[in-house]
Amino acid sequence: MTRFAHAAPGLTMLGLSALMVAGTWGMGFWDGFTAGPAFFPTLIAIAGTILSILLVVQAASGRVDVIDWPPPPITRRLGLVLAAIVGFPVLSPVIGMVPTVGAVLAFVMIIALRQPVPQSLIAVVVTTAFAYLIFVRWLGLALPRGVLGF
Amino acid sequence: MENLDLLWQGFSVATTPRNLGFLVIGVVLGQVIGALPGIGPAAGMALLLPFTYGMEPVSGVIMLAGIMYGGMYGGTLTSVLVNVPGESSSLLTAIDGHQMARKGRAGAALSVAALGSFFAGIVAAVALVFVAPALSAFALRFSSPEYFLLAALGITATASLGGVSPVKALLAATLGLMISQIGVDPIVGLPRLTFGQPQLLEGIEFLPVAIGIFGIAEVLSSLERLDGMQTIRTRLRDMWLTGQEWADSRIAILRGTVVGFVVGTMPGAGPTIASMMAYVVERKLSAKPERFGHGAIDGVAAAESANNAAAQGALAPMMALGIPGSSSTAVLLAALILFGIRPGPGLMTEQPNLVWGLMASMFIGNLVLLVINLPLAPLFASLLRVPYGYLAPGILAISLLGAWSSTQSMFPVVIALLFGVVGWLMIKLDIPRAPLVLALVLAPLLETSLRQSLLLSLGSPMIFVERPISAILLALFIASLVWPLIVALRRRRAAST
Repeated sequence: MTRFAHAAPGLTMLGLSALMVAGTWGMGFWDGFTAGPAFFPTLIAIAGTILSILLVVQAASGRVDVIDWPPPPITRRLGLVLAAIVGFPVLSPVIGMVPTVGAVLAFVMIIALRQPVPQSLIAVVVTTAFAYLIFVRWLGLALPRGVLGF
Repeated sequence: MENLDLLWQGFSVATTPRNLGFLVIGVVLGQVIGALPGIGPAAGMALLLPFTYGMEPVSGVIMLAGIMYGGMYGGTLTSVLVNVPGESSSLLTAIDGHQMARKGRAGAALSVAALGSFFAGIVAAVALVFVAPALSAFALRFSSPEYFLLAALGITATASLGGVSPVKALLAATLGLMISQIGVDPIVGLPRLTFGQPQLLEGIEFLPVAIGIFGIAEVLSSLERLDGMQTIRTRLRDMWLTGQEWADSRIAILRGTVVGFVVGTMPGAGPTIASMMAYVVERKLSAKPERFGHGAIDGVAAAESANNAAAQGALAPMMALGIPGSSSTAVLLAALILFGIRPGPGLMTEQPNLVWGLMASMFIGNLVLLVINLPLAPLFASLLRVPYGYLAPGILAISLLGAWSSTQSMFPVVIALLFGVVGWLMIKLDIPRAPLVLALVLAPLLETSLRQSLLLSLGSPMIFVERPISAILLALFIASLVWPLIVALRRRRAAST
């Protein structure tokens, strides 16, 4: 499993290299006497392929370090944090970006990180107000508004 | 003398109330960001880059540079008091600094780090005043072939000097190059690798990638170690150094400064490598090397002087050549591009106020940081007692808002989230993230100058050998690829015998 995890970036990059070649196929590698639009992406794909093979060979045959994956409770914590931040682009157009910031903060602090509720609520209000002051008041950005009107 | 006149002019730019204000904000934010475990100066600069929108370029660059070297000072606090490096270049400070703290000498460790960083910062700023213009004048002879090789060297040097697996470092750089290819071809203007998606026509912006790969990834990584961080307290009266401590550390500060500046000016090396090299040099030259790792004040002095000298030294290739020497200078370079300023050898003549204002600001910034880190160190140390569980969600929220503000759409937010997970996986798999960011910044220069070179030579690659400077750069480029191979073979041979 550890060997596979060390080889996985190589295998992913092998796929991405193939995608580079496929995505620029037919764009012109050499145009008369100079390089065409596909020239540089192809060079990158060749470099990516060579390095990916080297990494996979290293992972398969050499000594590999044990990967410090987090234990299940920490994985759950990280999963909840990730779920909250993935919710940010989903919720923002619906309830507005400022309320989404507050909701994400409250979820991360109280549910994911299990911080005490009163202190978390104070931190949520302070951080949301700070974000509003910086992005809306100072930078003058029109953050997306939602059904709540702000 | 001309340089000193220009520096004097730079002081008049740096000391305007507005620029001075942003300088103080920058160094204080840098100090705080450096002190927070899990978020380094590059991440802090990327997160705060959107705050500079609408600012005068000089003010924005002064503030961002302040965050960069302020972070070098701030990282010491966490390393010494918590034994968690605030950023990677404080790794060695944590070893000896925390041992000193456990022996009741936390104040002395913080003092020597502040004094060393200040001395190194001032010397590096003086050196920069003379090195950057000379390098820039030399670089005016450069044309497309030299630029292509210089950019390529900037990427490969990161791999050979990075201290981790060169294959992994080069693979990370290749991923950065791949991302840069999405968008429109820079020469003929055809859509490339967009797969019919209109959002991809503009390409993948640098900012959301940097926010994800540094900011979100580092917060996710540090959330794994949320429990069990204990801070050692320190008081103002503990900050005085004894005569013996000062005698032990002054030469280490001097050596660390020289090593740090030289290493910092090398493309791809950066403050982390500089602090490691300075620490190793100090241990080798020490009469009592066995003290290292058990609270050697000269170890703290060397590492801290070197990381600040390197952070500022890395500005030399960035300002003179447009080639960033570290991930922080890559963010600074991206900021210049966002401000509509073209980096490169012409920068010093085209934007004298910006360049000399920035150099002058470093003298003032280091002085402000000395004040912050000597009498005010216990105050900033109290920041470490704020539970990370309240700080981390705030950093994540600012990251997401910062990503949104880059193009005011949700697409960069999704990119930042994606690269946050990619960055976290890279940390887990020990794949360096700096080459990816450096490659992303250097890719446009790399591709354009390669294709221009081939256009100049009517398709002949001999253009890279026929010109003397490009031939030297080509030799260095090949050496940077071969060197890690030689090192790996030597290691394998040593291990087998």
